[in-house]
Amino acid sequence: MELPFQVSKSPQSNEALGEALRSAGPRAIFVEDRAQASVGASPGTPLTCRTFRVVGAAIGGDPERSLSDPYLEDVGGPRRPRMRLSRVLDEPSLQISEGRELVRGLVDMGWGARFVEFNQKIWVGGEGTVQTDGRRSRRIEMTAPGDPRVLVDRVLRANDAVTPEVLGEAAGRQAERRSRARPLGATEHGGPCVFAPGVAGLIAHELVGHALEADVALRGSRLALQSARFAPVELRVIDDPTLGRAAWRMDDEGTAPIPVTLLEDGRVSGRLLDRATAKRVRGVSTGHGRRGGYLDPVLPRMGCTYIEAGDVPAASIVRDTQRGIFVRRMAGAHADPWRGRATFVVTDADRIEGGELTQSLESFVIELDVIEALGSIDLVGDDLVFDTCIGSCVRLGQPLATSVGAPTVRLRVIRVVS
Amino acid sequence: MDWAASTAIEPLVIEARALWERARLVSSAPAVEIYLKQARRWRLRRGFEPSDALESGTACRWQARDRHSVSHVAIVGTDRSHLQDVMERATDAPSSESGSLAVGKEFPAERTDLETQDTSLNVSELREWMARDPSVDSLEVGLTTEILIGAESWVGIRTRARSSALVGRHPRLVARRGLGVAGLPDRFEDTQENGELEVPLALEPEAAGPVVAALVHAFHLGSVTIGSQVGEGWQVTDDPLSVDGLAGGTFDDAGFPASRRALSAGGRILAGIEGPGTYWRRSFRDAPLSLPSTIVVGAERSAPAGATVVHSCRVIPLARDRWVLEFPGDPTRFVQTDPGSLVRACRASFGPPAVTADGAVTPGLIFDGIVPR
Repeated sequence: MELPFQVSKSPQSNEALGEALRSAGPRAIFVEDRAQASVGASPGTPLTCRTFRVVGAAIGGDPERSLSDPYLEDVGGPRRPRMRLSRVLDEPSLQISEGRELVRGLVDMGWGARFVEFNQKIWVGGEGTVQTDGRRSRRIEMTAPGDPRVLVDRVLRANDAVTPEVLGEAAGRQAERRSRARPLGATEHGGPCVFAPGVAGLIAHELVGHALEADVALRGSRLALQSARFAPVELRVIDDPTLGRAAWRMDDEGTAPIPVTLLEDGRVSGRLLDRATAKRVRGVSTGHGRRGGYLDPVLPRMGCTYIEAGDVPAASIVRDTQRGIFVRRMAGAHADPWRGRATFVVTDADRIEGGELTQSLESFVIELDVIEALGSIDLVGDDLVFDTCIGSCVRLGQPLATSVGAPTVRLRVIRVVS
Repeated sequence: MDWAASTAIEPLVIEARALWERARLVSSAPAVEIYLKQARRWRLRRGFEPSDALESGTACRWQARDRHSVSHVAIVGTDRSHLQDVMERATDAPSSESGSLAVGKEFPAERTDLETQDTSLNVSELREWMARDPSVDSLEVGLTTEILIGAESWVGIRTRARSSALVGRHPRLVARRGLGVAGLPDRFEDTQENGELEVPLALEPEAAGPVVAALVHAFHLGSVTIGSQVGEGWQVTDDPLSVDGLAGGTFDDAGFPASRRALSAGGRILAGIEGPGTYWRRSFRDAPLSLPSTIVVGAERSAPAGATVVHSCRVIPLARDRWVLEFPGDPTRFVQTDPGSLVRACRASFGPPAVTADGAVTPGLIFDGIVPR
């Protein structure tokens, strides 16, 4: 049908925005154009695809003004013709068809599946300059029919040869383990606990990273106040936003990030700074200033927090553990940097007996104290991997896709609370 | 400054009508609905310049030709070409049950549900309130205007004012209806000394809020067992008309008239949350679903005598029948329970009701037999 209103496909150009920002004057202007999609289905239900595009700007000043889908003129462009940014900018591309095929394939094999993707472009203008960056992430998660708990989730990378068969096999193994799972006995509270490669990155994120985000550290998080050596000297924790999924090469204030060593030689050795906190400590931003979106203020945030690889052969760590717990997946966590503690929801774990994995365990909650837990790390494997533990981090109401990494790690002390 | 007066509704209605006309042409559907939401927020954050945000978004639903399902798309902003583009490209768009699209002659041509609470903004009062307590991290006040254009071109207009703050050294959200700080708590408990917690356990409103929200989802949404036993203290109403409520209104987000609904009383479950009058959107991006509006828990004039009082609680669901309650403090305490035992253990309430950040209006709640360790 011929509609009386045809959608104009041109002119669209990101260059027009660049020119506008360069001529906008001294005010700092942040513009984001984010496309996101989710494709989901389960056996017996229709496949649904949700796509959404967020275009918005935060324009510096007193007060800072945030606007949804502003006109080009609002960010320094010409007054005529009036054009919304959503009509000017090239829409960030998504790979929905690939996600749809994966989801269809998994549903055909009897699994529930959800594909989630985002592609964000940002522009930071001010003082006649413009910085740009792009962040993107794709992941897929699988569930068993009738059970909303995620069985397996995986980050999808451009060169990954992931097929529904490979993913379905992993989901099948996990479903089988879950069906055999038994509750952790009341007498089994405590360590040691071996974390599969990647998983201990979440511990570093919650216990170390949150305490050393500079606004938190400056308000006196327990870790920031810890001057004495408390962790093994071989343990190094680093935050490098250029690694992992949703990496960034320019933060939301236009600063290129540098890797920050947070923990070294058994002590705290760094903090994550945005421009405001850098000013407070008379330092320079480390490029960790991020916004949850154009409506949110900048906060110092983690990018990819990881534990550096050690020199212990990873395969020997479980073998050298006579009795304990092997954690394969954690699905959620909550940190209290002031008290130096965090709770973690363990959703996939096995009992270790005689150096072997013997019994699958039902979900449970562990609580870790930063000084006690990191101080009890006695084995760090040589098998560093990223993004086996996936999640969004929410701080002060701002969600952000973050990344973690770690080798196989053993802690001698954990507290199982349920 | 009176924000209600400064936020012109008429241009938004005209905008929404134009979007509706465009959506009808693009979809050729027998029934089309436009939901337009605009939010203006003013935020003060310690150590930063204030910020003023204007956010708008549009959602469109249209009935499929088979009349059995409803497609849904949403855009940031109110640009008609953008909406048309998104509708034309929508494939496998999420659908919701056709019953949630308000179609019929019984809908009045126009109805309004305007904020009755104070909508004047006194900036110096907000600054003074924030300066009084260094543990207040940020303060935000906001006014939302929602325009709904329905199948027969009827119009629904709703405005709401809300204020919230991030308070305390362990930041947590407090919220109230209206613009300003009146009604926000003036003391922020920060350290909870969790010595030996003994039964019964008395959860102050802020601690009860997350528990109420989790129990409502477990027992009053989805498949509901009417008549099953609950504790005497579990007296719960879904009240979209509550003048203190952060959510709700005289009509739901699909346009159906909304009314109070007793969910539980006298130790029994009376009803679930479903059907017309309960269709709410989590945000303008989401299609309306059966959801609670403002949950109001009945208050008694009792005191938590002999009970251990806690003012912070987190619910961690491990499985459908296995929850962990976390009581942050020194030391942090935990208890593993199941939703059924928890709702039956709700023996009584105490103190006056308060608006919680979880959306419930609840007094303190007393639970028997829940022993954190």
